[in-house]
Amino acid sequence: MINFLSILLQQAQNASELADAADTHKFYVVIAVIGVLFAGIVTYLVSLDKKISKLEKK
Amino acid sequence: MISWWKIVGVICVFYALIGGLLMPIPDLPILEQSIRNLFYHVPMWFGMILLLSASLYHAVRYLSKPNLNSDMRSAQYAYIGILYGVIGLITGMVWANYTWGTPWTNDPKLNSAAIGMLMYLAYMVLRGSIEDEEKRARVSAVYNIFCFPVYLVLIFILPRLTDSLHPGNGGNPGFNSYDLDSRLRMVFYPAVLGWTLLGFWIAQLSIRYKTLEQRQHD
Repeated sequence: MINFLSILLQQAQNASELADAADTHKFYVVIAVIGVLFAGIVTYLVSLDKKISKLEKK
Repeated sequence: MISWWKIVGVICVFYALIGGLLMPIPDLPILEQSIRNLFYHVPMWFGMILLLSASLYHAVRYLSKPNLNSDMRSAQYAYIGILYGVIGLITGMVWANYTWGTPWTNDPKLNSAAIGMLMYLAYMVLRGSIEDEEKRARVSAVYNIFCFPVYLVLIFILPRLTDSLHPGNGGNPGFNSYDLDSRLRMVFYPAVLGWTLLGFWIAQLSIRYKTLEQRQHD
């Protein structure tokens, strides 16, 4: 897995040399994706919490 | 309703996830952009220590007043703590691969952390191997109380007595190398708080699940 990551990183470095600073605004797309991903996990935790609360009240 | 501390935890993690990528960082040799891992890798260990402390607390409570509920709490906190520790080890290996050139060095901090994780894995094996509930609770509480201080010595004291690649060791207290930059702390402390609270939330969910399971069983 570590080797795979190093290949990925190398490719990313090559790509970033080509792409240059012009594309940096797309970096925010990644941040948006991470935000959505975490929001999804939190939504799941909240719903689990509520389900357990409901069972506890029985 | 969702408790306030869970909301605080989620906000802190959210802030740390995004702030950790966006904030300006100091110009550090070798580490470069990878210093951002400070906001993701290190909170795992802080969270782990606090979860394992909660596990120790309930282990002590069980021994002072035997109640299987304390034993169950102790075990659930330990499991989430171990999960954090394993994530901490793996993220550290990824980071080490790019800064030290190899995922694993026989560094005192790394080996100590690995031994500590094995001690806690043995805790899980121990619990799994005893059928009798009372006996399991007593033996694992005693083992937990033995394990925790040894683990603290292994990861906080022994690596400081020798040279280590890992920051905060080899005689250096804390995060000396980063301390110059207070900007890092603006994301780092909320990250620690947030991930710790999130860990306690997950542990609480599994404790409540186990309590329900027990109730159904009775």
